[in-house]
Amino acid sequence: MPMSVKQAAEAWRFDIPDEELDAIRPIVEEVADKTARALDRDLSTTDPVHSFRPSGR
Amino acid sequence: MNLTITDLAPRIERGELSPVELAQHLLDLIEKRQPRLNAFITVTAEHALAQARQAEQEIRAGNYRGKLHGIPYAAKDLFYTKGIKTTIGSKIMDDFIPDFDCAVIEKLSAAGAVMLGKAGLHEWAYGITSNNPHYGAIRNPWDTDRIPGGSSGGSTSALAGGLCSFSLGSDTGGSIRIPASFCGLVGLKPTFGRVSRYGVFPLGHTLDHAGPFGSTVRDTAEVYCAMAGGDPRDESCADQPVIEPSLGPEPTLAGRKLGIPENFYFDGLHSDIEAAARKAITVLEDLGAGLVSIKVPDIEEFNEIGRLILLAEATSVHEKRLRERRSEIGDDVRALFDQGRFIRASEYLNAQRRRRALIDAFNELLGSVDAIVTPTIPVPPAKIGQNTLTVAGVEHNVRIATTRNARALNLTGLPLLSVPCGLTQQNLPIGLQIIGRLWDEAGILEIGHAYEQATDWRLKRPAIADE
Repeated sequence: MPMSVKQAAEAWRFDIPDEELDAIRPIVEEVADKTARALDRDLSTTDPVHSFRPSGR
Repeated sequence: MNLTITDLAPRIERGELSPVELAQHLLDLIEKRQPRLNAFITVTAEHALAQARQAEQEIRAGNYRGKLHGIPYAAKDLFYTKGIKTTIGSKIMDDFIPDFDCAVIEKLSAAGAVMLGKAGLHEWAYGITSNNPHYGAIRNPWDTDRIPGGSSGGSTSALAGGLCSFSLGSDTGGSIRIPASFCGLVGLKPTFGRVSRYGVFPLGHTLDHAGPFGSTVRDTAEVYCAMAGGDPRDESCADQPVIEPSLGPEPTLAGRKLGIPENFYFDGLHSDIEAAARKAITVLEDLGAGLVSIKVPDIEEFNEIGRLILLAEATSVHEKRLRERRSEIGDDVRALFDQGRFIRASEYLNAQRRRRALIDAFNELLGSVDAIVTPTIPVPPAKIGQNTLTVAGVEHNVRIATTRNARALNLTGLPLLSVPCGLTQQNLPIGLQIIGRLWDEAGILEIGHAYEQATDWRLKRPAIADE
């Protein structure tokens, strides 16, 4: 298991059993990889969407 | 018995059909079919008969409230019901009894509808199989070895199984459209903010929507109009005027422009589904619609954005339970909750920023067409317990493949309708997804109704519904 996922789990005291952490590790890495690519742009002047109506800014 | 609202309501109004006898008939059928479908977590027989008796007395006294008066329905077991157990499909909540009705149940009670029970769902509404580790697998009436879809699987199993006239669901990443499509029903995910979520247990607070299932578009529209409207108790609910669709007897789409995506939505489809969707589009054209080829943004990217947002939001709802009652959460949902713990706050907020691009792109596309048409799901319903499936020689995870055409659209808040448009060679239903402009539920219901009237898919029923 890459130390990044294991270290994060330990640092944040998630208390996830090793077997379960091992099972989700590839998915956590996949989500991180794909979203890193999607978010690799300057979004600093865009307001985030909240739970308000989608037409409202 | 034909259980559509369209058929039952005039008979109830004229006093030809007793709401009490109707409710009792369906309660008897539920007892008979529940072992095969497992559609309900709680059957509310006493409550239903009390509501039916009240309806009958009022109608006899000349106080007919409208088309839902005396009509039986099932509510997904995440709609709070006063004095009635509401489990959210979880073992942890198996003794939770709300002390108030959610806004939608309030409205349906005011309309005189009769709630037969609380329908099963994927645990915490977080999944698409409705294979619930605590309450058992919910079964698809078209093939009881297969999933009904989810997370609102009990609602569609009950309706397709001939156990009620309409049902209620919620949709965070496809949980209305997917079970509607898999069970051969109509499902409407209204515009974000159109239906109050007061008293609806959350999954992802910027993605959740409540909506109806019906056997026909007309029935679905009837329930939608009863559910919709502003509610100050839900900050995200808008006080927009609810426009009733015009559902005439002569199907026509003259003057309407429909966008047909040339990328993403028709890629990698099961061959029967592609054939059915292409055929449906020719029917829409024959009805007078102008077809416009459109290019949608990179939906794969926005599916990932949606996945990240939901992982973070769902985990935020459940993190305390995850710490304190971990062993009481099913394996698949617990794994999703754990995955959400690794999302950083800045990633979540930037995903919510990036989400704007998809909203803007779809609003721009819908400036030039009235609606966009796609297949609802690229694959047929999997067998219960099946984790992967193969389409065109490519193996897919069932959850990812099933939600492919549905998930990103929840980011937009747009109204979405799934209508039946065919059957696979294995006699499994196929759905057509219609994407509308903000607040234009009426428009997509009118398109769906015209399509439905021009075909006979609404008449197809699983054998179990006629037993």
